[in-house]
Amino acid sequence: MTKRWTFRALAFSGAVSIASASSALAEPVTLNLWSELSAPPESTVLNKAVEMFNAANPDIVVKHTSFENTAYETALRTAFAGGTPPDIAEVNAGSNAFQYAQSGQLMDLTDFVKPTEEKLRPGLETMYQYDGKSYGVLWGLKVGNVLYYNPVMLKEQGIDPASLATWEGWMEASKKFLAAGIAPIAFGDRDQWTGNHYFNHILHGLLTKEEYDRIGLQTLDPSIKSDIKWSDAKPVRAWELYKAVADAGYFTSGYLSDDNDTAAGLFFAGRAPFYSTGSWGVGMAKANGAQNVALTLFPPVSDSPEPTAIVTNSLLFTIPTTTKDADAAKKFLEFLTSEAVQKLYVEENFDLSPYTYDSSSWTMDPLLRQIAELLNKAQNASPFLDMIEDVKCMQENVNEANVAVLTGDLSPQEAGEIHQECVEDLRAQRGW
Amino acid sequence: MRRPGRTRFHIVLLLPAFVFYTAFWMAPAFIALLSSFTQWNGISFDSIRWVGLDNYRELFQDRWFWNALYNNVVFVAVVLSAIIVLGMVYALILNSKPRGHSIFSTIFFVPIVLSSVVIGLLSTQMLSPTVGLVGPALAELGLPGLEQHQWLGDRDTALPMVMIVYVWQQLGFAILLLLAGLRTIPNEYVEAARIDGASPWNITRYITLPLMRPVLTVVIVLVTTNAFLLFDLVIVMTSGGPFHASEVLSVFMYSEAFLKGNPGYGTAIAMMLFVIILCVSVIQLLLSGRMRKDA
Repeated sequence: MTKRWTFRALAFSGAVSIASASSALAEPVTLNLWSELSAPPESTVLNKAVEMFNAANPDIVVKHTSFENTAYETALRTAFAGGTPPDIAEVNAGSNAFQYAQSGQLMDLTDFVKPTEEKLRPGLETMYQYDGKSYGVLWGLKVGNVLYYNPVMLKEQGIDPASLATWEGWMEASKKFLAAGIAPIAFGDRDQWTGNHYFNHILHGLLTKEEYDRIGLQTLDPSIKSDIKWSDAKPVRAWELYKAVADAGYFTSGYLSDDNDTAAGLFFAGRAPFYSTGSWGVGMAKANGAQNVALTLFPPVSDSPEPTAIVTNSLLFTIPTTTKDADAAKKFLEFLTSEAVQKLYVEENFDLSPYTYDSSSWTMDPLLRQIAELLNKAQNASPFLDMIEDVKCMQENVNEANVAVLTGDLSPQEAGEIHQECVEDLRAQRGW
Repeated sequence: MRRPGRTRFHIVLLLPAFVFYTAFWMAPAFIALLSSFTQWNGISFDSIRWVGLDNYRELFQDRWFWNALYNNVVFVAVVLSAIIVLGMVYALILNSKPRGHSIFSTIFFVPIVLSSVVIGLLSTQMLSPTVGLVGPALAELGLPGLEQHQWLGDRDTALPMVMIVYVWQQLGFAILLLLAGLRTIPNEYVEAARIDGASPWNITRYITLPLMRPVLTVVIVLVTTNAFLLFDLVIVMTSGGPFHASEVLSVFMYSEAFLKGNPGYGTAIAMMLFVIILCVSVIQLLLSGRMRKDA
């Protein structure tokens, strides 16, 4: 009797063990995904993508936690410092991602992203490659160097929009508006980043991609050296051209005290004919109900070495080294780059794709399609300078300096010299 | 005689507050102090490097630190004087209970319950030369040259504009405290002085102000401390610009720690700010104590 009961008990416990083991095998892996995409339409698109992925992959559950934009960086840094980052993390491409990569917090994805790179637009790899290794996949693409104009106002002054193809043509058009009593360029530099973008686009038009990328990356990557110094003729010329716009009176009168939203409001209300911002301006135009809006590439100088090149920004999806399942996380990253997800992103987000899928059948706003065409024609692309330069040198010598150049506290030459000094001090401090 | 049971009871009562302050105030303050002797990228603990007094040495050689300190001292001196003088004047007027005094008290107090961010945004819009009301209003008043002036974009007017808005925001609180102080002064003193033929000025000078000293000390310490810690209004209205013209210490600290990615240097600035406020408050309390003794 006892033997029989012992045998039964053993058989029962064995069955329970097998059942629990098999249920453990069937248990899907849960991956925590963190992002700063907390507001629609971006959050809606990512949530939809997560739902699509979870439905197609029953063995993996991606759980998306979104944070408010400003709180996100602090939350992510704290999690990384505490050794508890998510399994998949969205970070700003460029310097932000490079900091985590430099600290050994991100997984090297060089081999994994190789097939993805075949469908990537030229030049974008600068945003996720650090020290020869790749650290993530790009999600969406914003074009920075766009000039919006009011075609009705141009017509009233007899200005041909084709003349905006060069910096010189744009300045000539601005001169006509000023003569007619209209301050032509809606601009507000109170928060400094708008002036940063102007300087960025002017400089970008003066340099080749290699020169532009190197002058920034020399503060982030020890292996990169720049042949051009900030105090050399080309960067100083960029400052001079920027200052000349203010000196000529082409900026709207609150250019040092207004913020970007105020400047955008002036343009969308038809009080100024020009306004420069990125591709996100298409969404702003729709939100403002603006009717008379057309666009072109931010005009490069007539002797620009790469006049069709674009300045871009993108978000990067990375895998922290502590992820609980690297293969599952890679599967999700691959899914984000798929045509279905990219189409969803572009159609619902007033944004573009970093990948070369044929988007001719996709539903797109006509203005956004125009930017997509500029993108297709671009011979090259580079990130915004603030994505590829050390934050200290960038903050002091572009964000703060662009205001100082406008107020006259720094001359263009001085702005170039202090920037170069910062770069040399930084490289020396780091022993590069 | 000491009663052990009672002492234990006191300890039990104090324990929650002690634990709370130790965990959420003393410990972070101590960590911040330690952090001010380090350099790190804020991402990985491995990158923390002990640099001793280097951050403080650099700070004393940093011209933007002295610029921010100067701006802060000027800001505190101006807003403190304005708030005390205007607050006292309005409190004396309201204390005499003129017609509609309760409505005016409410109006003066409204700004203090509004968020600084809201006040900053409204002021910024009003002062804008492109969309604001101040420029056209000045032009109507016969000052056409000021219509296009960038009040917040000019290094001579940016900080004064923040001061005006700050005084407008904080005045109501000072009036409220001073009014409460005035109402504690026994009416007999004032009546007796009046019977003796004292003028209203002499009553204010020799009765009201000496008796108001404790309340004035509180208002001075509160206004000074708050003005030294000013952050939100500057960030919203000018971001410390143009080119550091309205940068105060807390904005400088934020810029170094967060915008330039140097938390060690940022906490060194925070420590200096703490020491400065501590010194100013101690001096003010000592002076008011001595004055009370003299009186």
